[in-house]
Amino acid sequence: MTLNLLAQQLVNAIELGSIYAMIAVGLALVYGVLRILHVAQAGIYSAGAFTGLFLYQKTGSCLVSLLLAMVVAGLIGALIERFIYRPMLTRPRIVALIASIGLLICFSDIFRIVAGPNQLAFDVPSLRGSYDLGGLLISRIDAAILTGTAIIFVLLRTVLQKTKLGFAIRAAAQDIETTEVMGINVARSVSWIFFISSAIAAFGGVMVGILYNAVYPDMGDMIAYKGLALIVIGGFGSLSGTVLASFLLAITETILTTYTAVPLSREGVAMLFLVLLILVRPQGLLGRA
Amino acid sequence: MCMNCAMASLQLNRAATMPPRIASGPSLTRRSFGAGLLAAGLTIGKRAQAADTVRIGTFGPFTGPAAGLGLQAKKGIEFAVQQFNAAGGVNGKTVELISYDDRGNRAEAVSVVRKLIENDGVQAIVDGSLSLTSIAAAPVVNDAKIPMVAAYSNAVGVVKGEDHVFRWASVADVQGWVVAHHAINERKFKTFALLMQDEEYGRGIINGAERGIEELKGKVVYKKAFAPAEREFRAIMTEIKALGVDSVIMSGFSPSLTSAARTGYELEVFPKAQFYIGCSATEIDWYNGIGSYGQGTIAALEFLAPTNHPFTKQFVADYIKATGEKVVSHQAGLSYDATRLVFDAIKRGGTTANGIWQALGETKSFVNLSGIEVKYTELREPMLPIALSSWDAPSQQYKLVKFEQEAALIDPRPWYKYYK
Repeated sequence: MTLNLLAQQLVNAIELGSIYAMIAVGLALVYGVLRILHVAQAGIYSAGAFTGLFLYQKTGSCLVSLLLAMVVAGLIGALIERFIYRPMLTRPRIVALIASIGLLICFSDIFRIVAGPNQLAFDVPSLRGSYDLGGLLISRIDAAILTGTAIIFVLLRTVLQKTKLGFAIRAAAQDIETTEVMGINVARSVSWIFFISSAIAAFGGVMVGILYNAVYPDMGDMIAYKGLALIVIGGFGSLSGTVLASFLLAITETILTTYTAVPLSREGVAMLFLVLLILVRPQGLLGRA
Repeated sequence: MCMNCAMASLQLNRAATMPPRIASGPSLTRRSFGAGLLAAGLTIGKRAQAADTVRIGTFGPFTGPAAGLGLQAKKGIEFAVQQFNAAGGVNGKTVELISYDDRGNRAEAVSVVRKLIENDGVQAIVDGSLSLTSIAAAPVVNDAKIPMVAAYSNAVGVVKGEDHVFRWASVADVQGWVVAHHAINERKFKTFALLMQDEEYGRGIINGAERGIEELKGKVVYKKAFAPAEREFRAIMTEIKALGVDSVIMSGFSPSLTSAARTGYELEVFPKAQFYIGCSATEIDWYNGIGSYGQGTIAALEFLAPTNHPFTKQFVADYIKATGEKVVSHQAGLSYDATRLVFDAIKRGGTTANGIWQALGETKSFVNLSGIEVKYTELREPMLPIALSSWDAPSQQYKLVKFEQEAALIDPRPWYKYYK
C-alpha cells in the first residue's frame, strides 16, 4: 500500500467518521440526560432529509433548505419529547424505548406513503465534483460535511460550556432531580436537548441524502443500528466518547471491509466492535465505570 | 400470524376469561358467538370464483425496503391484465387478479401464497417477488400443483426441483457469464475487480462472471462482498483505483449500483475502467439516482424497451400513458411478459391450473418485450437473450450494444450443477 493510498483511505475514513459522529452525538445528548435510547432519532434524520429535499426543490438554495430542515426537525424532536417521552418518564425506560421503536417504524411508513418507495434524487450541482489536494481527492459534498460537522461541534461545545442552557443541560445530565430542586427549568432544558439533537440529525440526513443522491423511506435504518452501537462504544452519555467511537469505527470498517476477508457487513462490524468492547470495558471508551 | 387468526385468538382468549354463565337452556354465549364468527370468517374467506372469470394471483414486496421492486412488478402485471381483459379475455372469460404483499419476507411470502391457493382459489400465479421470497414460496406452490411463473427472480433455487414453477427471467449466472465473455473477447480486458451483493441473485451473477473470467484466462485481482443495502463504496473504489483494473463487474440492486457508480466516477475509477452491472440496472432507483454519472456503464439486461420492433414501441407508449411512469422498469417489463406468458398458456391449455401448467410445459418459444423469440428449455427456464446496453447519461437511457443470443452463452442449464 502506497503512502498516497493510505492517505486517501484515511481521508475516506474521516469523512465517514464525521457522518457517524453527527448521527451519534444527538443520541448521546438525549441519553446523557434522560437515559432514553432515542431510536426514533433515525426517523427524524430521515424527516430532515425529506424536508431538506422538498425545500431545496422549492427554493433552489442548499443552505436555506438545510437550515430550515434543521429547524423543522428540531421542532419535531421537541414535540416527540413533550407528547411522547415526557408522559412516560415515570415508567420503566423500556417503555420509552418501545415507543421510540414504534415511532421509527411509523416514520418509515409515513415517508413511503407520502413520497413513494423509491429513492428520490437529491442532486445539488454546486456540490458535485471533487477537490484534488496534491493527489488526494475530497469530494465537494464530503468537504461540506466535514466543515459543517466541525462547525456544529464547535457550536455545541460553546453552548454546553459557555451558556446558561448548557449549564442546565450538564447539570440535568449529572442529576436531574437535584437540578430541579435547584430551581433550574429541567423540562425546558430537555426540550432544547431534543431540539438540538434533532437539528443535528437533520443536518446529517440532508448531507447524506446529497452524498448518496438518495432520499428514501428506510434511510434511517443504518442510523438506528450504528447510532446505538456508537453511544455504547463511546460510553453512555459521553459526547467525546461518541465522537471518538465514530472515527474509530469508521477506520475499522474501512480496513476490515476493504482489505480483509471478514464476511461482515459494516453494521456487522459495528456490532462486533460493540460486543468485544463491552466484554473488556463495559463502560465504553470514555464512559465512567 | 395472519390477522384473521389473531382476531380469532383474541376472541377465544377473551371468552376463556369470562365468568361462567348460569345455563338456562340453549343460549348464545360469547364463546359460541366468537366461534361462529370464526367459522363464518373462514368459510367466507374461501371466495367463490365467478363462472366468467379466471383467477390469477401475484405476490411481491409492496411495503418494506424492496417495495420499489414489488410495486413496479405489480404495475406490469396489472397492465397486462388490463390489456388482456380489454381485448376480450379468452373463451368469454376475463382475468381477475388477486395480489398480496409479502413485505420482502420469506415467512410472509409462504403465508400469502397459501392464501392465494387455499382462500382465493387461483389457477396460476405470476411471481412478482425477489429470489429469496420466491425460493420460500416455490415448494408451497409446487405441492399445491398450481403453476407459477417467476417474473424477475434470478436465483436457480426458485425453479430447480419445482416442476410447477417456471421462470421468465434469466438465471443470474448467465448475466455474469455473458458479461465476462464480452469484456474479454470483445473488449480485450484482462484484469477484473468483482463486487458481489451477498445474497442469491448477487452471488449468481458473480459466480457466472468469475467462471467466465477463469475460462477465458482473465484474472480477478479484487473481490468483495457487500450487504444488499450498502451505499458506502469510497474505500472499496479507492482500492480498486489503486489496483488499476481493466474492468469492474458488480452485482446488486440499483441503490447499491447507483452509489458505486457515482463514487467510482467521482474518484475517477470510471470510465478508465469499464463498469459492468447486472439486470437491476433498469430499476427505477437507477434512473432516479444516477444523475449525470454512469456514462458508458454496460448493463446485462433481460430486455430493452423500446427497440425498433413495432410491438415494443407500442407497448412502451401504452404503458407510459396508462401508468404515468417515465420508463418501463426491469420489474415492470419482465412481469408484463411473464403475465402474457400465462395468458398464452390459458389460451392453449384452458382455465384450469392443470391445463395452464401443461400448456406452460409445452411452450417451446415466446416473443418477449424486445420483440425477440425466446426459446424455452425442458428445465422451465428460458434461453433469454441478454441485451448488453450502455448507459447514455445525457439522454438518461440505455442504448443497445448487442443482443447476445449465442446459445452457449445464454443457456441456463449448465448453471444448475452449482446449486443444490
